[in-house]
Amino acid sequence: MKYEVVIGLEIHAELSTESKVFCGCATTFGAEPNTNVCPVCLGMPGALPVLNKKAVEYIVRAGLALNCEIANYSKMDRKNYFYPDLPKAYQISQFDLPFCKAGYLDIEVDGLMRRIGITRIHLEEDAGKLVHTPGGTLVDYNRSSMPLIEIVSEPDMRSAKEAVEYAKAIRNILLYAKVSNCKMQEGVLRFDANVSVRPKGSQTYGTRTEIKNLSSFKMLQKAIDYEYQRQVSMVEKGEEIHQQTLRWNETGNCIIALRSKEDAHDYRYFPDPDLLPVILSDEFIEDVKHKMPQMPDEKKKMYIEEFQLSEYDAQVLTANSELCAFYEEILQDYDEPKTAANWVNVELMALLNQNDMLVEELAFSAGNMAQLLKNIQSGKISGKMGKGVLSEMFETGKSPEEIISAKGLSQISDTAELEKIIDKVLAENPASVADYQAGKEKAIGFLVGQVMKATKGAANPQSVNEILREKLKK
Amino acid sequence: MAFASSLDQVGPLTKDIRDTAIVLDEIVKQDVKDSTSAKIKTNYADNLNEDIQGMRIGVDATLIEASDEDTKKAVLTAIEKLKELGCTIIDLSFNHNEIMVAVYYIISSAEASSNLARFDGINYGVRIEGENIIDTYVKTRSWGFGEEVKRRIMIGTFVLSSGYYDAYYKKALQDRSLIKNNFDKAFETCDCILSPTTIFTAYDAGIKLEHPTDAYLSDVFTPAANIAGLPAASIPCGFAKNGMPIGLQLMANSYQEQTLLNIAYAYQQNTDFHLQRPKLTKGGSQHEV
Repeated sequence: MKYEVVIGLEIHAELSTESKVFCGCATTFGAEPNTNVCPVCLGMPGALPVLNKKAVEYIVRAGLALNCEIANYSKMDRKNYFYPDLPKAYQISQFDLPFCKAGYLDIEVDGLMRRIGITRIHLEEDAGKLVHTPGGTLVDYNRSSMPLIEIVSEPDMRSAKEAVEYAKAIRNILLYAKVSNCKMQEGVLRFDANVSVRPKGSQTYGTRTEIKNLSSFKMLQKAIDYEYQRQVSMVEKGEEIHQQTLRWNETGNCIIALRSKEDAHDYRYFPDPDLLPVILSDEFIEDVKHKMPQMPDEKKKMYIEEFQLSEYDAQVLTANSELCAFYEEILQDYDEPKTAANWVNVELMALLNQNDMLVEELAFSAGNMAQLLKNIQSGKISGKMGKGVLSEMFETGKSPEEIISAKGLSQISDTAELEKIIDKVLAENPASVADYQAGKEKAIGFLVGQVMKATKGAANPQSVNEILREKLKK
Repeated sequence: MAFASSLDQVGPLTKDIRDTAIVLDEIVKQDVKDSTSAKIKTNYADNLNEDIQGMRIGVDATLIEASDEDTKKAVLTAIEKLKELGCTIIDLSFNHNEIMVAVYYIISSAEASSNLARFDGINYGVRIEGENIIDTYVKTRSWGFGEEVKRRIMIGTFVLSSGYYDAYYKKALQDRSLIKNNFDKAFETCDCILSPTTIFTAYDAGIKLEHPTDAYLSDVFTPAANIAGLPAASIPCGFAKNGMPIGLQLMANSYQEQTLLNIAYAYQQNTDFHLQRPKLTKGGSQHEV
């Protein structure tokens, strides 16, 4: 391949604070249009913004999690432009003095470690939402002034796959840091991709285009692939690439030009005179650091050292914060971390992968899963039965107790009862008994199978085996 | 709402300084919904004190020289009065007098252009429907704003535009810091700074200026307080030959409102200009006692 793609990402993440960034309005998703609003987020004349301290704490936390320098002095600026979803006709954002800068994130792509530079993270307010109806366009200002952070990367990615892995890793970090719920379907996480191409080995960058507002990893992947192909074919035809803002059209699977460099907005940034500069003391930053939730690397270390998990199991569990949280919730009621890890990484993962589902979409709780594992631990049901119960939990959302009692599942642990069944099986299969006693070791497998069949799988296969051998010796 | 947020301040217009102090005690209280309001405890009215012996009053003589004859005379007389009351006069010489008006109009217009942007016809105020959204903005704003407001919006938009930002807005912010530093230094040797309020007395109502921006230039003394964030008061100190009132401007350091009020209070206790009314007549005013 002659060309290489160069990608930088701007990731917007809505913070999970309870109130908006400059007023006390609730941030709940899905409220009736224009119910989470007040004079401040509606941009009414005379209303003034007051910075939400929690939002500052969250962006600092995100910055620390992404290895950034935290600024002791930063300020809020106005970004001026007219659009109906922007009630003040300016967005309060940060221009030259963001809260966080010069960070990085290490990601693994195809077995190789890659370090992606993070230029800056700044705090800003979201705009409202336009709702297009046959009768005209309506505006819902519930989202207006929701706290957003924008994480700007260096142009350090060299494939769409790397970009997706980086975006997923950022999502994971934000979830661990507990600063955003990162719900893609609610638009909490959005990506802008800056894409350019250059001949392989070249040290200079080509002219870049920016694809705005990609709202899923799939879209990110498709849009970058598309744009890469488009730019390469232009370069090969000797055409010049123009700096442009583009939009991905999901239904048409293609890219649409929004505006060229010539009609680029002049945002006339200047310091917002309604807000004072923000001075963060070293004590404040230390305090945020101190209260920081455990990050994946620390967890991984703990799993290996304290839980004695394999490197692989620890890696799989910590690579996904929701899975990790689910795992830790199981451990609140169940005390065998290794067994739990095995069930989560093997059985549960298999079900999730087969159904293309995420752990947060599960119909049952981590508590249910712990309950299931306890039933196996106590010997009430066998591991094999457990797998069946798990898949039924997965499908129906019923509790393990419900499923076990409805199906009459229980391992026959009463030896006397088991012996009766075994005696019956032996009596019915004299040929196999003879074979075994003649030295055909395999015959015992058949007999175990018959006993399991007779008990509808409720016997503990190991006990059956032991009793059988004992009886056949005689 | 604010015209220019970083410069605007609420100020009482009262009959005398005691009333000012009473109103000020209320309006200085902190508003938690205004990030720029300070939390301070005051009792200006009860602490008014006409003993201003030893107060050091800074005066930049060039500002008095720049004023018209009547203003100059009235202000010099006021200085004599303050000396009689025990004040010392300190000579000051500011190097920022010439840039004051430019700094003020650049910063205030920039902020106003942004503050007024919300009047776009979408969810507040008047809307004139256009053929598309841009046309609606243009029609609404062209119709809704007056001449002077549009002029300020255009100045403000210009000075913030890329390519001009550094030469105008950024320069104005730098000069603002310089002016603030000059005052910080001046207040190391003075308790209060005195000047005329305006360079000449008020225009007749309804007068048309040849250049709309000429009036900006007459406003050289008042912006300093807003630019540097200082408390200032304007009190009557005489009348011009045509009967128009003349103002004396006093400025104190940040949070030194009590000093400012005391000096103005002492002056009013010993003069009666604030008790007189200008006699307004056609083609020139006369005043009566």
